[in-house]
Amino acid sequence: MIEKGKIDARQFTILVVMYTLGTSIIAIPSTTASYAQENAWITVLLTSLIGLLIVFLLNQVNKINHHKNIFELFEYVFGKWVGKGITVFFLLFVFIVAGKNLRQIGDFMTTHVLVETPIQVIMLIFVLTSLYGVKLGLEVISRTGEIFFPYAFFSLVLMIIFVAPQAEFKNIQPIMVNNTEGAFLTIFPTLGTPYFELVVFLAILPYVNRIGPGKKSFYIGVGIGSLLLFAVTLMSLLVLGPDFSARNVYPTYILGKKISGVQFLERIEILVAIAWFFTIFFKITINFYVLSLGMSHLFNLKTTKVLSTPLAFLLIIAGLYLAPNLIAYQNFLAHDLAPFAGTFGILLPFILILTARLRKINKKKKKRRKNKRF
Amino acid sequence: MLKKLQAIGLCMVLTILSGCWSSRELTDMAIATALGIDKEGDRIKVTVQVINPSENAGQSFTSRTAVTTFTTTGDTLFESLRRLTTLTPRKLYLSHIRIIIFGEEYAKQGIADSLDFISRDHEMRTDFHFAIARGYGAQDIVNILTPIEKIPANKIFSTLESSQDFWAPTKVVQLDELISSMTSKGKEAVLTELLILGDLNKGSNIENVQSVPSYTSIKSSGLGVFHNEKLVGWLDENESRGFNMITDNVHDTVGVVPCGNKGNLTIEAYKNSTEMKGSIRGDTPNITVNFTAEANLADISCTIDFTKQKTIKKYEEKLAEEAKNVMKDSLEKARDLEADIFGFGELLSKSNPKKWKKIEEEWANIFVNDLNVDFKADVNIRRTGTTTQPFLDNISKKKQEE
Amino acid sequence: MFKAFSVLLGAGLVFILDYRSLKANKKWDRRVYIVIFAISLGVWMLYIFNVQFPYVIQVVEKIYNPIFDSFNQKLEQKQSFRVH
Repeated sequence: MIEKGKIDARQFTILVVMYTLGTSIIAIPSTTASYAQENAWITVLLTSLIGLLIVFLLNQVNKINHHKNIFELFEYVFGKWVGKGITVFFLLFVFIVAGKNLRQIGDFMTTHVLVETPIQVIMLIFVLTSLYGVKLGLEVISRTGEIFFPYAFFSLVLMIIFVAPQAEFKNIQPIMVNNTEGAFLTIFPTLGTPYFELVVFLAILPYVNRIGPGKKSFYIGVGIGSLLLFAVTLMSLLVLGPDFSARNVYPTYILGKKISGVQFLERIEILVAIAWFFTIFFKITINFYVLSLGMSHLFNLKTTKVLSTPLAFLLIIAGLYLAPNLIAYQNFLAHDLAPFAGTFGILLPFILILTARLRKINKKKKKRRKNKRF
Repeated sequence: MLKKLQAIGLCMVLTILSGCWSSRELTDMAIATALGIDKEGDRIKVTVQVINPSENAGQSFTSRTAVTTFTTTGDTLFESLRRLTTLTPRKLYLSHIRIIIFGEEYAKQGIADSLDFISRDHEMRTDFHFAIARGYGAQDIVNILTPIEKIPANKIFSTLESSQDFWAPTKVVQLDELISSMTSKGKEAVLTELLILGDLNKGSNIENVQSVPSYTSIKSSGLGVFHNEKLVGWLDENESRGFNMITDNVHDTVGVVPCGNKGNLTIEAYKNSTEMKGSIRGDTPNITVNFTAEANLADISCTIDFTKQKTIKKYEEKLAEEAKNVMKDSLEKARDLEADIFGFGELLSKSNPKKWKKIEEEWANIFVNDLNVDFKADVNIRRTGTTTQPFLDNISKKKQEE
Repeated sequence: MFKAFSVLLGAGLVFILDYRSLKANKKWDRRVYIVIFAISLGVWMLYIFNVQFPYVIQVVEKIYNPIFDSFNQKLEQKQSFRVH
């Protein structure tokens, strides 16, 4: 085993929450509102239910063998060479997702906060911080998560509370009358951003110190993350209206700008930015970590951190060469991300389970364990 | 050797992490507080009110004005704002804008083109207000100095907010509301008007704030009505009040009815709420507007007996009737202007989405001719202030005895 | 040119500082490291000299668009501010 660290179930939950919120908290209100209009909150609600089903699927994959991470499972189920081949494609997927997250934080910063700073520098700073985390290992990342989680969580909750007085119920009326088809169609692209990407946690799940609670915490993490996503989308619709939410690239940030009920609580939209920095930092770090872990498995290296430095610099290029401009990127989010992520996030786990069943790997394992027990 | 290299590496990191890349010091910024937008031929004329920092902070004040304005023209709003750098000593900083004023001529030709920049630019926030300069250019308003509040933009901002809160006819409109009512099919936008009272030319002079009554002042009393992005007409004070009553935007206001033989009864209505309901029965759309208010007696200048419950009841009904009339007047005016500023169409589209689809195309026509609007009003007088029976009665009795 | 030089300098610095940490590792590990590092530096150089790669999303789009085109068309019909 390459990673020797162990994390506990609570830390795993936090990592999952951070990952679920990561990019979606600021991207989802806009994309859902532009296709589902006033029903976007229903789309997000339904999507998160499907998200829990995906977690169920992923837990089933983990059941094939609790102690093997996804790269080991590939070789275990498909055999050494096919497994390595699939690993290559899977790593490419993780690489692109990590680059995408890096690009998103860069785009956000250059649009709203640090307008004159080159995007490369912002990406460099973020990736270096993540690199530091990856070098220190999974245990350190998880503990950092424990420290930063309250900040991210409460700044989002506070934002929701502060804008709540400005909510107007008529903005989401009539409920599910116009454009119902759109609301259902939008579920698919919405699944792309956090839920199909959750598959990377199959590389971390084996390192949770107890298996039962680990699985449960996967559900809890996705549940909490989805609830926050839902609340933010709903607030964005209620306060800004579906049209304004769809028109803005980062409606969550605009929502933060709306906080001005009490005199002394004005101009605290940076709360949203802070929540987003922390969550996306963990998203990048987790993806980056899984990427390094996978590379180490692919090349049979001794530790995860061997290749992390050159990979960090490659990630920046991946982010820069992700998309020519923001509009192309948003089209990608709506059209091609979900099928792309779905291939790895749902099709691959499915094939894994099916192959394992067909080759009866599951049963053999159980028998062996029974024999051991007696 | 390696230690040294590590040290150099760390130092290089420090230069990146100090976070000063796109920093802008306070001394490099010209903080804009108000923006006036006018039309000049085909071009846009922009007037910016900029804070004069030495006059607003620090101990010693000179005789210079607290703000100064710059004007320039350009093909688009952004172009003209950038062209302002040829006039201003520093680059403009737009985040602290409190109010954006459109000139009447410009508003008549449509304000949509400048709204796009305002919502797109990252420095622009969404918490400023909009207003229209009635009868004048926006430049004229931005140029006026005001007493009490050193920064005129702040004065206008707080005037609008306080008059919305304590005097019904004005309304503060923010960017998201303005844009969504312009794009929504069953709703039209309104913006507060700003008037100039007094001598226009003296207003921009420092003498305006040095004399006890100002020569020139800015007043806000009615609302400008838009059809899509174009200004089409005005609501006067009473009609604006009616508008706010219908749209449930009255916090605290004053109502006057005649009483007794001569004189007036004034109430302060402090708890106002309006409920609007829309329905489409058959093909005719119906709207019911239900206005309720709780009031205190504030000012009585007639001789009536206020100890009797019957009198209270009678005046409650009179006040309710008055409220209904105000709302009806407002509706009539809106029908004249063919602008559904109350959002009746939007209301119907929420309550009867399917039937709304059928009438959506002809809504402008239906709003003017076929729409059936029922007004209901209910006023309850709860308290009488610190006294009960007016003493005017006794004075007139004394007069008769003499 | 200046950019390329500074990237090379930075890469050299990173290499010296980072490679040290691999001393305890096997020879194989270090070899893989050098290969990946070289790839990374090469890609950076291409970026610095403005060599056009296809953008990632364009590649992904080419693969998935044939299958999901009809769905995307349908979705686009629901776009709230699609131009008629």
